Amino acid sequence: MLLYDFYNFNLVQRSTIKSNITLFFSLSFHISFRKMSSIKSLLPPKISVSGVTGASGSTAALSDLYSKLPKGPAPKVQPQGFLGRYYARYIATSSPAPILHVSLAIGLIGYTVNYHFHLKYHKKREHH
Amino acid sequence: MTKIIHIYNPLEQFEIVKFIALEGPLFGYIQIGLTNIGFYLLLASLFIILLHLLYNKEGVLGLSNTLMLCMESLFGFVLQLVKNQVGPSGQPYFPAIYSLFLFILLLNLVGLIPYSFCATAHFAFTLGLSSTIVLGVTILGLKLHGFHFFSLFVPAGTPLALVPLLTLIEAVSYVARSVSLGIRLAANMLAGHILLHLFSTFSWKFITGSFLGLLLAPLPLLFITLLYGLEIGVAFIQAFVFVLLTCSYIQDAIKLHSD
Repeated sequence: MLLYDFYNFNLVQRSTIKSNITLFFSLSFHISFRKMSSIKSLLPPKISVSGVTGASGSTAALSDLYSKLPKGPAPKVQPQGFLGRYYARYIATSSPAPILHVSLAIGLIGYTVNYHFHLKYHKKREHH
Repeated sequence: MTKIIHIYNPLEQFEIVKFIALEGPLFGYIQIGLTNIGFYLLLASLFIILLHLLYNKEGVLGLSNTLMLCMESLFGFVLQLVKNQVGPSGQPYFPAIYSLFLFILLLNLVGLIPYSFCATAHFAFTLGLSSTIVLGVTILGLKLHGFHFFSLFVPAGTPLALVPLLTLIEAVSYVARSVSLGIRLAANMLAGHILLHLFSTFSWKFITGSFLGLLLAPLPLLFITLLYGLEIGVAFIQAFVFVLLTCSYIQDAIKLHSD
């Protein structure tokens, strides 16, 4: 059965959730791993009885909630627009390309400005 | 036979030109507009804002991105600098110093892109910045210590007879801070850009001048590449020195006679 793992933000198999709960308790209460072999022993008696043995309505509601949770890997959201696609392709992937893109863009702007104010006069040798 | 080589004025790259200008007989014929220096200052500011917006988007959940790691490193570097120079009482000034460091660093680096414009090579800009910092630090010192702030101009253990002379010298040295801070940055950037421009022009003339020059082309190109690397280093060092001295001035204003 798949459950939601609140530590790693993933859907995981039920068999693996035990280790995460163990980790939670060991961090919260500073109890050694040896004592943590059984989670049942940690639960207060009343909760243990109602939660484990009692087939009450709350258990059914809980089961219903988990059964409705999405299963499998999260669907990939397609990035929208130019900025979204650029972000997904270069920024999110830690690519060094944006540095080159920014440099090229600034160089292009600089060349345009320089051409208008200086370079076109250099061709005619109007001023040096 | 003497061969004359024409080169373009290396100072032409620093010329301030108007992109948009509103001129009119208003308040003594003022000019309101956007010049190239203003444009590059805006560009650097927008770039800093964009970087931090990206950091907020990605960096909150962890350091999974190289960009975020770089940002964290810069942040940690400036934080450590402020802690070492000013101490715990300097923490409130950290955001201003961090912004100043990033602003100068980006302007220095943007200036190194071919055909772009180096705003920090302009004395008008750097002197304006440094004098504003020294003025701000003086106001801070006056606010914290009141009239006692002027004891900064009297070194400890000065004989009474020498107090007027030393006070004058210390006052001049204090005011000179605002000039030296700005001149140091602008002079370094200006010299670097002029040197790069001159060597690039001479290299181009050397390579295109003769067949032998074309064969030996890798040598000047290698030299320019090394010089460019040095200039990138200078861009970082000058930004660092600027904020380091700013921190030391703030420390002087907070703790009078700390030594």
